[in-house]
Amino acid sequence: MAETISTAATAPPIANPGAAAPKVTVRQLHKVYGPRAAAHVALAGIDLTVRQGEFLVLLGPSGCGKTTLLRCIAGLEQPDLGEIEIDGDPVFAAKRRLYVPPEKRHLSMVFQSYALWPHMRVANNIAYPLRNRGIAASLIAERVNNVLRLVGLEALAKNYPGELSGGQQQRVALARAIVGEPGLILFDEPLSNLDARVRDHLRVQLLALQKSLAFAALYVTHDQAEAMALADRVVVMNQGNIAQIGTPTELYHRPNSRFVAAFLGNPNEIEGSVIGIEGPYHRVRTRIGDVFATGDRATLQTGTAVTILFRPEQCGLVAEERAGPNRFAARLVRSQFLGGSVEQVVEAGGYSLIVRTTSGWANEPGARLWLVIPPDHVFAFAGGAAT
Amino acid sequence: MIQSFAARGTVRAGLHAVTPAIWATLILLVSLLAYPLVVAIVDLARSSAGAATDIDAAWADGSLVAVMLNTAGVVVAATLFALIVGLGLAWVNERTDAGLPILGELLPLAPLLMPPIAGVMGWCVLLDPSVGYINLLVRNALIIVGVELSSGPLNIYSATGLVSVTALYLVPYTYLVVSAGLRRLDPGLEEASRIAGAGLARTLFRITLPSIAPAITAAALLSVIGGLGLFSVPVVIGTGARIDVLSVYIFRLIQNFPPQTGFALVLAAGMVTVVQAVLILQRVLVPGSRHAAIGGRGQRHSRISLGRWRIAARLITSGYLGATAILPLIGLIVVSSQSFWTPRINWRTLSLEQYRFVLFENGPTSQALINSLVLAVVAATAVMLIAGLVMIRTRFASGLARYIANVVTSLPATVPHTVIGLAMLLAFSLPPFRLYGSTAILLLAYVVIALPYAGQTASTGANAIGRELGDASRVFGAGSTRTFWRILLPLALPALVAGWSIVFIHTAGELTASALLSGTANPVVGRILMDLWNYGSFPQVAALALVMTAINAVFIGIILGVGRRIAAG
Ligand SMILES: Nc1ncnc2c1ncn2[C@@H]1O[C@H](COP(=O)(O)OP(=O)(O)OP(=O)(O)O)[C@@H](O)[C@H]1O
Ligand SMILES: [Mg+2]
Repeated sequence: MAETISTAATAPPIANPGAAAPKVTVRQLHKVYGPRAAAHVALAGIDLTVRQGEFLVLLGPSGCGKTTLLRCIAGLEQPDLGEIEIDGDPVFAAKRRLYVPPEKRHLSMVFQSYALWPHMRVANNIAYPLRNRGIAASLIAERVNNVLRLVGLEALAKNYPGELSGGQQQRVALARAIVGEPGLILFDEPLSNLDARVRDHLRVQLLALQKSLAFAALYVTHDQAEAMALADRVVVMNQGNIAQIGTPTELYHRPNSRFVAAFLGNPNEIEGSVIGIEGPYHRVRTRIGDVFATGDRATLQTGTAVTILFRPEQCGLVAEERAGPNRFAARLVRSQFLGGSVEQVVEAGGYSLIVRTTSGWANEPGARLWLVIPPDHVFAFAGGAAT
Repeated sequence: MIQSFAARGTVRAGLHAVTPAIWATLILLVSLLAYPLVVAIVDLARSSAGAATDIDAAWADGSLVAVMLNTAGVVVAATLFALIVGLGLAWVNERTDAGLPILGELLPLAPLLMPPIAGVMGWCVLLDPSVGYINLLVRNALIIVGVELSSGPLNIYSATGLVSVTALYLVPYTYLVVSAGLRRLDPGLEEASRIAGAGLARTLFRITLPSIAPAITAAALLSVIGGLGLFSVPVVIGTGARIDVLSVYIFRLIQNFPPQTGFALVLAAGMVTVVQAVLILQRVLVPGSRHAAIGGRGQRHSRISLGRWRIAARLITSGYLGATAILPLIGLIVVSSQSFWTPRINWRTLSLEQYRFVLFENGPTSQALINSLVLAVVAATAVMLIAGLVMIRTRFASGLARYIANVVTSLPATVPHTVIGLAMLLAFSLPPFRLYGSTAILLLAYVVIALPYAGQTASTGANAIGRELGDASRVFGAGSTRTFWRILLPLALPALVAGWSIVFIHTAGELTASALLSGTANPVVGRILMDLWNYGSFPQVAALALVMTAINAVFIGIILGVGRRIAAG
């Protein structure tokens, strides 16, 4: 990272071979809120690239700095340190005191509150970005009608935002964001205020729009399912830092930290210590038995105290004893039918563990069972269990 | 991290940067108040010798002591009166099932219907001991039962009259503050008390009132400040009753020949000191917004059921509103239709003659009307534009800029209007301004006086604008100027229109500062009404007052309409 900042000011970014050219490049971005005495670090050195036409999702717990990062890129907030480039042009550079205001950055944004102007009709809300560019009125009308049709709101063009439902308002906000055909749209939890059905519907619509209009999307959410469904790549943030960047499957199957593993899919956690390395796996001694787990060779050596994590949906429960790795005696505490799956709570080695299976309704509470965890899906990370 | 701190403050092109123009405006506003005050203080120091002899004389003949005692007595008694009435109205309206939502809307507006001086004159027309219409009615009724009186039985020109009418003008202050306190009070407190077995009265006195003690204190202090500054009521009623209070006494000192400016300044300084002391007291007794969040939940669980008393309570509250707003109006209407104010209303000679006279034939009155309306339009427009600009542009700016904007606009509220008028008179009559007798000096005074109202309404309007609405405009390609005109200003407009109307009404009927600053060369309605009253031209006073009332009514309608729109939107 240290090299990035020293070279970035002079050398243009080198496009990743095989990947699209970067739409946005963020380097070493810092943002601190509040007076010096009570400073709060919202961004602690973010490096990030959004490629042309890419759907990049920022995922992280509340307060980790997602909105701040988005607002910095939009120009609504001034970072304290670092650089931002859009289409290769610097729009913010702390060292050079360069700050390009939002109206000159040629991007658009969908706000969490929708931010529709209540004193303007729907059509005027949507026309606003075009009017600011001095486009001919006839052309504006045509473009507005086109996007209204695209989001299915032709009938409501003359209404005021206050007369629309939440889902309709969201689609107006979307229409306003796409009408200027921007190369980049920022989304700040655009679906979080909607009920589940509208949200699912809009999510599909949004993805289709993004693919057909081919804009780059930087999308903030703290809903991991939403992130997985939308993203080409996901950026997991934690306390002003980037924890990991990767495709949804990469993050899911190869989390690089306990934070990422824990954030994606509420895994079971068990403490133990490494007693050896066998083949590709670490052998971890725990209270439920010896567990074979995947871990980092460089850092996890024999004797390291670790926590192992595995997801409820990636383990199984069987009734008959059979030889094999990662099979542990367990007792069924209770099971709960969830429609598509069955969630079962088992007790093993004093831990209460959750197992999600698609079948296995047959067992009674108290039944003696075997917990099976494929070693590829057990992650070992250094350190004790989360408190 | 140290590095990042070093970098802070270097990149300062600022999205919401406060432009130099805003700072310049703020500085201009401060100097508009500060310059006259400084001149007054310098003047005070210079004329202290002359003032000393005047003060000694006034001390010796006892008039100074009398003025002090009168002022204290009237303000304290009227405040107590206003507190009781305000509390009663607020409790019925906010806490019981006898509440009328319209009352809360109309009560603070009722005193705006007529210029204050006109309202006071309306009460005099009703309660004059010999020719007051209510007294006439009462005397006629008494004749039936065999009692014959030549005057009275009620006399507005008395200490009771002065205190009562003063209180009437203070009730809106106390009502507003107390009802806001009651609205925020968690009804659960009262419900718990009732469940614990306490009755209605016990709950009221042991739970409700102690819980809103901070609001009651604030209301009392506000009322004391309002009462001290009040001029219209004592100049008419106090003069008739030969009870001089401070605001009127200062006015007389300036009107005397030669004017006793030094003495007036000493008293004005005393007045300012008292007001500042009360404000400090308020800050100590009512610390900040800690009490503002008593309950915090908007919804009301249940209102106290008054049972049989509900109708009575409703009659009393709406009767109060109706009587205080409408009775003086009726009195004035009757007088204005006669050629003389006589006990016997001659129904055959009713005419609009007086209106024709004050509007078209009498030079001073028509000139005063024009001056007042023009000044009110100009002052309201200027002050709302300034306040709107400052409040909206500092809405999203740094905390400091917002704080300064709020302080600057609310400063004049802490200086009694008599003092503002006096300081303006001294500062702007001198070279290089030489504005004495001009409408410009009135305009300056009106702008300063109106600044707190304007700042208040403008910041209410600005604060209601969500941050993301302005942000969105910037992201979608509008610069800060365009965002201001296309998004922020239209969104704040309803509040600005309401504020404009309030400023217009206050300015068009202003008397306290105008009494000092307006003369034959620059007549305004407030001053002319006072002079006509003193000359005994009562029908003309009434006609001119009613013309103003009609104009005010239109603007009150606008305020109400806009208020509804804000509430609905
Ligand atoms: N204007 C501000 N002043 C001071 N602190 C702020 C400000 N805006 C954000 N913060 C702080 O910065 C941190 C990051 O805030 P941010 O809004 O970026 O979080 P977020 O990831 O978007 O969270 P959420 O998911 O809740 O929206 C938070 O701890 C927040 O309290
Ligand atoms: Mg956020």
